[in-house]
Amino acid sequence: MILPLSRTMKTLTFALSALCLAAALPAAELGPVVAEAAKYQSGGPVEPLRALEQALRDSAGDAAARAEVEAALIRLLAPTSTQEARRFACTQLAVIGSDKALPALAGMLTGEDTVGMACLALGSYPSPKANQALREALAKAAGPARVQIVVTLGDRRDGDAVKSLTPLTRSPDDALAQAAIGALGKISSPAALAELAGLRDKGDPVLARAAAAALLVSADLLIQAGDSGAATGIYDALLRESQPTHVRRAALSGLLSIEKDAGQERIEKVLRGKDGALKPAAIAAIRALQAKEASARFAGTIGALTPDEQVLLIDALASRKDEAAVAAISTNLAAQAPAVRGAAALALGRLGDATMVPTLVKALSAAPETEDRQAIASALVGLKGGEAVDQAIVQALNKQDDKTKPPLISVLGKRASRSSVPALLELAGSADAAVAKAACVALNKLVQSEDLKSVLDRLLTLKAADARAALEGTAAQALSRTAEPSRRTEAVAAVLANATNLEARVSLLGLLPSCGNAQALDTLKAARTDAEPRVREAAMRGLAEWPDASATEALIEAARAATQDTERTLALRGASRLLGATADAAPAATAARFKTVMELSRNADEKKLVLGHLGRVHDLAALQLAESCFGDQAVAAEAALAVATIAPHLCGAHRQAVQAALARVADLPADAELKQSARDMLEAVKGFSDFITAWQVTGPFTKEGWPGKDLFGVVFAPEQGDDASLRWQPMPAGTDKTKPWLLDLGKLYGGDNRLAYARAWVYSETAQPARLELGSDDGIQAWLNGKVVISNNRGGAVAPAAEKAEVSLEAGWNKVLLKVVQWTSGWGYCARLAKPDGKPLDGLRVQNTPPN
Amino acid sequence: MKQTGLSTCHRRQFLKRAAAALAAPLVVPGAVLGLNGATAPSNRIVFGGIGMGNRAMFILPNFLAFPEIRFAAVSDARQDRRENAKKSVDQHYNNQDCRIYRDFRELLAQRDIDAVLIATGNRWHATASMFAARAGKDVYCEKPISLTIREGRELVDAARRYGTIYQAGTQRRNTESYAFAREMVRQGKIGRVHTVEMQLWTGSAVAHEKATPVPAGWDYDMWLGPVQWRPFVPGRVNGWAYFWDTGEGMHTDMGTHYTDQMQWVLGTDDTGPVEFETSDIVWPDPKKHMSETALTGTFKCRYANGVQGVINQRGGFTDRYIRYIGEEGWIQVDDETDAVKAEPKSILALKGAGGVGWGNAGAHVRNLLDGIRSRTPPVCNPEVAHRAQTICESMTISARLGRKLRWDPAAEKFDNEDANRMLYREPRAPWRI
Repeated sequence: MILPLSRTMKTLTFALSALCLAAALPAAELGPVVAEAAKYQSGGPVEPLRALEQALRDSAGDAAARAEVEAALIRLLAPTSTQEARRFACTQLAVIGSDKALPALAGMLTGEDTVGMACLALGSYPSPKANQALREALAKAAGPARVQIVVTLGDRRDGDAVKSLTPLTRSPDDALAQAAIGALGKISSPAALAELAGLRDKGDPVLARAAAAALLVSADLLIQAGDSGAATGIYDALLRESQPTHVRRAALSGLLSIEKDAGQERIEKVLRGKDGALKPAAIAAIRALQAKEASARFAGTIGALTPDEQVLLIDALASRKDEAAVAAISTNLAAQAPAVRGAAALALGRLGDATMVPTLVKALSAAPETEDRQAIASALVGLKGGEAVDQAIVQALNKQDDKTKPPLISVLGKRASRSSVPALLELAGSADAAVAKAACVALNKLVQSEDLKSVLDRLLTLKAADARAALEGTAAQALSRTAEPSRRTEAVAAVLANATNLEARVSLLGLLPSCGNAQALDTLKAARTDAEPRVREAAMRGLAEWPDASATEALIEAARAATQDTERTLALRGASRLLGATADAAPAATAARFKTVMELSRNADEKKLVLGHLGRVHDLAALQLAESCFGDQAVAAEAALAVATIAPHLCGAHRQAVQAALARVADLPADAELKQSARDMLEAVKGFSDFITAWQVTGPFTKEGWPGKDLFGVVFAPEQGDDASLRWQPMPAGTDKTKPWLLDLGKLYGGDNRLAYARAWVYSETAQPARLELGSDDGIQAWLNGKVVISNNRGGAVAPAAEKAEVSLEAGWNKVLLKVVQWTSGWGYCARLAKPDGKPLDGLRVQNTPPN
Repeated sequence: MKQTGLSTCHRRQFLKRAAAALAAPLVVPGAVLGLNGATAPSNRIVFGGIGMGNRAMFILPNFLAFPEIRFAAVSDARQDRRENAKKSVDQHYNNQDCRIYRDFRELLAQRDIDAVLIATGNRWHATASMFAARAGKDVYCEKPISLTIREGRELVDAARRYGTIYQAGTQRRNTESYAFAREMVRQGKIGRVHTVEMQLWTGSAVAHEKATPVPAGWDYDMWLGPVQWRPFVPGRVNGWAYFWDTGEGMHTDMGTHYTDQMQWVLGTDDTGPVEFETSDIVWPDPKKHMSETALTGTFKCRYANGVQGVINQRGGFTDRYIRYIGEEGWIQVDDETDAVKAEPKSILALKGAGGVGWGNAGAHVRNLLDGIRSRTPPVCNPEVAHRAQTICESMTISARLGRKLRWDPAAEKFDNEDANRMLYREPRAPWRI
């Protein structure tokens, strides 16, 4: 049925609707779709192709509809269709094609440009008539088309094609000959095998190699068909030394897979023979042998092999997890070749159990080389048997001298058995520092909350002074695995209360920061007034290491009251660190406290400590505090660094102050790289021109599973008012000196498929018309005083003035709110307020905080 | 039509050998192994590279870093790429010795080459691997290892037949964060696993574009290889991942990493799920796009024991993860950062600090080298890689047919004839073993 064009378009539109809605496309409507599809070329619309795919999907289980779809696809095969349209039709007929499509496909088999796509369809055709079509075409086709047909006949394992294929194996066209040989291998009928055997033995080297490969395929298929005898004949012939090594290995593996004893006799013959090329493959086969006696049998052949082969065999025997090989392997712990000794040790680690411990420990003490000791230690670590092995090692360990103990202790640690903890705690009390330290290192991975008291008690009775730091580390580990701060503190406090040993008290005070609650902090504060100077110092160090801001004021007070330089320096270091770490929560208040800390600093070193942390405070007062140190040559470099660190965060909101500070950095005795960085930033800030760079931002906002593009229309809290729960932060500016106007949200937040909001306030002396110019990557929406003035959900890079809107500024403060959407890749924006003709609009003031 | 796959018996033997090989590796000089019939100079394993594009250049340093490897030759259908690769290799060795080939078959014919790194486009992976196996070369091949289930099975058979030591480039099996997650699951820390949730990023779409002349220095026919001819279109060539016969889209290209992990953790390396279903698929807009594969969607599978695997293709590039959900908790690896998350959090205390991330494939290459030395299968051997990839390809077939499918992992057949005919795509001659 021929439809008028308007109807065709209507039908196509319908088809596309059907595609979008996944609704069925009536088969009768396929004619126009085919007509459109027949014109398809790259660059053109693919709706007709997608409509046909949908029709195919919808026709499942409906024979009549399926026939209609097939008929449509057959029409699409017509020579008048484009090459790409015919290719498409073949991909679909590969799935649903029946005998009805065969004539059309057969007609394409003789064409060089169409044979590939026709075979694509026929390759998975269930109908045997496809074979006939291919054979008939082979007789008529020429050149590369024949190669494709031969390949497809082989893939279809068409036994009737052997007569046609046989003469082609001797074709002067190498590709055709190789394809024919491959096809015969897949067909693997007696006639095909005979031809391949002939080529293997009498053909030229290239064809002989192809025949050998094809015969290996045949052998696989014969085994699958239950004809192991024929496969054996193939493999035997391919095992000859005249064949390439990898073919021989393949033949050997094939034989081993079908022999009644799973190839044991053949493996032993290879191992005891002189054919080195096959030995690795024979040894590899031992791994999977099922026979119980195999391990002992092949362990007996170790002596017949070279050291390199012995290594392979020992490893293969170990992989069998069969104790029958243990005795033979054990003797190789004393082999002459180091690699064999190492292999034996590793193998015993995989095979042995607790009974192997004395042998391995003895070998460890007698090991001649470091590598031997490492291998034996690895073996001990790997021994199966759990606590029995651990206890056997502990028993053996007690009989060793102190020199041999550390590696065995390390083994216990690596075995990670909790049952070793009591023994290791005992060893941590050894008078030998190496033994005690090794025990502490092993305990680090093993101690848990329940060991806390024992570890802390050990601090009271430690004999080896050099091991104290290691034991403190172990105690810290036990504390870190005790969830509740109160339990941590109680445990330390209880031991501390009974500690009379000065060293132990110092150790225990040093652990209080790991406890981290108010009680622990109070304990440290109290210890600050202890009569013993080392206790006071330990308490000061504990405060300086305190993990959260709760110690800040105590540290400032300690700095104020300090009578010694060391004490004050420690206090200032701790206070600065804690202030810096919490600066983001309240930048202005933090800057004020930094000012106090700076005032308490008595010398250059202390000021440097303070300045080192001041850079984390993104507040104008912090910038000014750092700048105030420029005059002190001893700390000017550190002050410059602090200014350079703070500046990017403030240069948008406090452009002039930052410019002034950066300009001064250039004259300071700071390093050249820092000065250059300051100059670059200064240039960037100058480049801001009349772009608005003082912004606060909040985000990112996402919706699970939503692409960024779709988020554009979603209303988040910032659009609904200034929600107090939102965290607004200053937007860093000038991070790209080539685009100083760029506000890079990607650098601030990162990620794809999300959005952020930015806000700024602009003061205009009078009500006046203006032009808002925006650039964005990706979509952007802008509100001026609550009214949408620009809205464009677009992709692409930031380009200044890509979006423009005529706006009216009110006299006084005007609020600008932007919503910037991130699809993927880059994410940022830029903004400018100008006169309606685009010329600079002077006299505006911008700030990134709400006006009072 | 008859299939050429091997019996289950063969597969199980292979798996047993593979499992037996995953113990402590040993190093044996290559001379004893008669590598590829030739003795490697200085006991080195001599590598060649097939396909030297971006991925190859990313992973190449992982090979060059091993003194026991000598990278001797590269091949690529693009002149600029093979010359660029030669430059990198020569720079590393400070000589001019790296040979270059347009046709990888010439590289495979070199007797001194023991093994190959295959980092072509996905369409070539299985074919090039089988050509290498037939030439007696061992193989490191980037994922996904195949684009149809039958060619994946044929690759398994070819590697077994020739004793090829083959490592698929799913290197997360040699990454500490993933190994830790597996260990925790297998120790029962989260109870019986009932769901494996995998997330990868939203796929891209390729806009309509007309054919252009083939650029100078390109052998486009070789570039296409086993894929049926199409005119040269820059967008389609560069965006090959988003067409069925060259890529299959993100749920396969990236998804195979995660299905490989799922199989590894669930202990199902010799089998697979029994059911596949897809939903919420968003296809490219045919008005604007010529690409074929999904933008977003949910790809599900179910194992016989009821465990569900779900690939969510959505979100951003950095949002990808795999999460094992059990009756008593969950454990997750964030792929971008290699960070492990878990509930209960006590699980995390068992994890050591640091560790090699997936970006460093050194341990994975090491695993291959040990396999080559000892002639034992590496951790991502063909059978396990094929089983993982079968999941992705079955999901593809389910999505393309728009229907739920049941799968027999022993017979490797669907319960649906249309789907069974999609198990294979006849390749373009002569690219067939």
